[in-house]
Amino acid sequence: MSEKNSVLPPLFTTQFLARLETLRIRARRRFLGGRPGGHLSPRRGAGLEFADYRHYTPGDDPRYIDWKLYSRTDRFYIKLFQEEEELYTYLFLDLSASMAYPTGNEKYEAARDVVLALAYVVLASNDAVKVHALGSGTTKYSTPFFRGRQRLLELATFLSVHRPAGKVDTPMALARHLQTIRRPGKAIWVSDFLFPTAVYQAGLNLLRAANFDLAVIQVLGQDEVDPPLAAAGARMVDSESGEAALVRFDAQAKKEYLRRLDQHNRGLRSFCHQTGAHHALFTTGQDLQQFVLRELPALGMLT
Amino acid sequence: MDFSFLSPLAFRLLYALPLLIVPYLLRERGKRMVVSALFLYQGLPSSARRRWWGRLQLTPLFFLQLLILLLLVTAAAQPFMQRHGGKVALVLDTSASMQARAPRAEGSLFDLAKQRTAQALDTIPGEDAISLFTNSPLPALISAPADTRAQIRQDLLRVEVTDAPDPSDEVLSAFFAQLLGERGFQQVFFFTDRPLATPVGTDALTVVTLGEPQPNLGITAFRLYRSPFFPEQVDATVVVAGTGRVPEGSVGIEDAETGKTWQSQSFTAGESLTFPFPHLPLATTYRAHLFGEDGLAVDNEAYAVLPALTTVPVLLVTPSAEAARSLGQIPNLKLERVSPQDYTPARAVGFPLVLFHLTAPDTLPPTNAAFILPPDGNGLFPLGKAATRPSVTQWTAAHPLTSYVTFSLLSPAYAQAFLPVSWCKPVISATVGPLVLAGEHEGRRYVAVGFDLLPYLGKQNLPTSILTLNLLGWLADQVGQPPALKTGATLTLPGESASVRLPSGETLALAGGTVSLRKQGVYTISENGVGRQSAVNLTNAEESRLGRSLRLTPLTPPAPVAPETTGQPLWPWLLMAALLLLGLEWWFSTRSGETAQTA
Repeated sequence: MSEKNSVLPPLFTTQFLARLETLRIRARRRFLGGRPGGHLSPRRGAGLEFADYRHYTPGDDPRYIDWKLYSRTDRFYIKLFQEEEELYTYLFLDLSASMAYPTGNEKYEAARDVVLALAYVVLASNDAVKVHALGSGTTKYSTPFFRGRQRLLELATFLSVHRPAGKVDTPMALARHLQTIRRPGKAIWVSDFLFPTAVYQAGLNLLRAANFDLAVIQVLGQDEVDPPLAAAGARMVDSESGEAALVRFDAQAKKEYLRRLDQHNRGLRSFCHQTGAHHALFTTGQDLQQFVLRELPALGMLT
Repeated sequence: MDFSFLSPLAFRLLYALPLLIVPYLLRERGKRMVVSALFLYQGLPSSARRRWWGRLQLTPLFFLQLLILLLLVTAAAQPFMQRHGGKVALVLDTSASMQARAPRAEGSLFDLAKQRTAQALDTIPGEDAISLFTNSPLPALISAPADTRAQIRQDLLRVEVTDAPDPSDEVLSAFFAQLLGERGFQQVFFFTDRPLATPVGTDALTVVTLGEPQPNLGITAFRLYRSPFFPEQVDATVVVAGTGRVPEGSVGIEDAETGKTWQSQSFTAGESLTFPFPHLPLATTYRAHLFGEDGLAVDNEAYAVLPALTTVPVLLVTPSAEAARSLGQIPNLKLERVSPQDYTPARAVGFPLVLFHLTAPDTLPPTNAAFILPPDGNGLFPLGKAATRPSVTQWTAAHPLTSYVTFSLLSPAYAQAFLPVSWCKPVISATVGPLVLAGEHEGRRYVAVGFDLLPYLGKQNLPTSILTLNLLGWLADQVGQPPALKTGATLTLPGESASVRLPSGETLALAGGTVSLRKQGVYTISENGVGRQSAVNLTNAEESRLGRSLRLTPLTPPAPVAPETTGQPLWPWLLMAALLLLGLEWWFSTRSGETAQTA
């Protein structure tokens, strides 16, 4: 794949892609897949890992009869194996207007690159991936299931078409997308999660209810974790609702802001822990390659 | 002491001060930050709630800037501090005689005068406004009344004594009268070396006399003579005047550039103090040096510059064309001949000398003239007895006309003696009477010769030729001589580009300006690309008379006036303070910006 491809972000060099190919999405639960793949399936069948015995019934393949057990018990038993199937991975990308701020931090671009990197990990491990863009309005933006690493360019094109804008009712948007999902699998939600606790809890609960193995990647701008002072006072405007507040953002106020942000993040992390979801935090000041290649495997999100 | 303002209208600028708030308002209005989620900011301290004057937040920097603007506006109003007190003038004598040795002290009288002036500054009450003046070459103001005492002390240190003589007593009287009258000074102190001869009729003028009369010799004249017709020969005359007991000493002539002494003459008390120095070698500049123990050193030197050679235009009135041709052999002589019938006094104008040969006009011409064998019956020089080959019996040896003439060889074929003329003296006489008369009349020189000097035969008739050249040289004495310059005078250079190198070595670039000749010595002047040298000398017998009396005309006492109000401008201090605060404001704003970034 050429490094000069204009659709792919410049981050996706040949070396980076090669290292991504060594990784795999880790699911903590077994899901039924449509095709043979690399992930253990709850289905018994012709796998390599022994799972159980059952009585032979006519029609069974005599090759799976355990002849040693027959010699000891004079009964026919069939050996059952764990089947390995592909994993359906769903990547939910937040397209609300808040992903475009703070200005100059390129938060959305970072989130998009995370999604692309994870999608390539899925594609490279012969699994199926589908990207859902959680935008405003009732329109659902999502790709079909992609398989094979050659589909990365189509994914990149899909993500380059959409830009964050407007106010998004996240639980509603999730619900609309979930209506179209028939098979459970791994769900990775990439967002800044800068919405009230009830909102992200509702969204995560929806995903839990849809029987997904959940992972959450929170992307924040550098100016959100270290905002500049505005001691003379500033008019803070909400990027989605347009609400405004006059704030004298001096050192004291910044301290209070950071305390609230930390509390909010800890609440999110705690809820993820309770719901069995992975949680990872990425800020735009970090190195994204290091984040994908080191931090996510360390957190158990990738193997 | 109180304050006032020279330009109070400048306070109208205060109306513009509210404009300073505008940038702050604009800054507040423009601060709009879009954030991802507002809920994290809600409940933080509000900029609107905390300030009772609204959204505008006035930082300490604002008040600093306001203070700077107030200072600038106040400086524009030109405040000054008024002082009510008397006006006192300190006049320092800076004439050449102040360079005399101070009795019983090291240094000069001028150093002593500065010390006394500094002491006076300490004793005059602080409310009084003091002005410092110098008197030479002309009275001049050094420190204005508004200057502080410290400034006056600085000015006093910078004052230098000159080589110029005192202004005349009349000028000084008028100066003091002006100080006490029109300029409103209540008290004038004059620090000088001259004692006051008579009371001046008021206590407002205090003459502080320093030193006392002491013997002194000084060169009062130094003159070089270079005949256009003997260009290789330079003669000099030095005149010395003295006061008190004239000590022994000597006078020498030196090359001013190399310091080499060519001739020296000693003298003792009672001798004539005019010293001729004949046959000096050619040099660019000459210095006369008086050696002897006396009170003042500056008048023991005098300078002269070698006179330039120029062509002397001569009008020859003669009926003889051969005489005119013979005179044409003489170098540096530009001869123009007219016949006696064509001569009118108007023709003589423009010629430095006129030779009348075998003729004489009815009246003396308006220029130097020689009358060679004037005809009998002329109205100027009546003739006496005639003689053939008369022997010269008497001549005036000191007269320039007789220099180098061997009178034993002078034997004219025919001579006509003159009868006495009141303003002429006989220079050469024979047994029949005076053959050559010479004298000055109304500032012009005239010579009457009773025998024929023409035709000019050069070496073939040496006595007559030398006498002829002496005659021409004496009559053309001032031609080509550089003007005598005295210290205290002003040299005007009208040229567009001119420069003057002073005796101290300093070079002044001028453009159509003037130079005050404060020091004696050789000045090198370059004007419009043409260079020349001029000697500037003190040569003032009055100034060399140390301790001479000061004769001032009686002065009118100053009228009692209300205490004078003088002002001390304060705006420079305010401007300086504003600049300092501006620097402080810049430092604070830079520092606060850095702090915001690091925070």
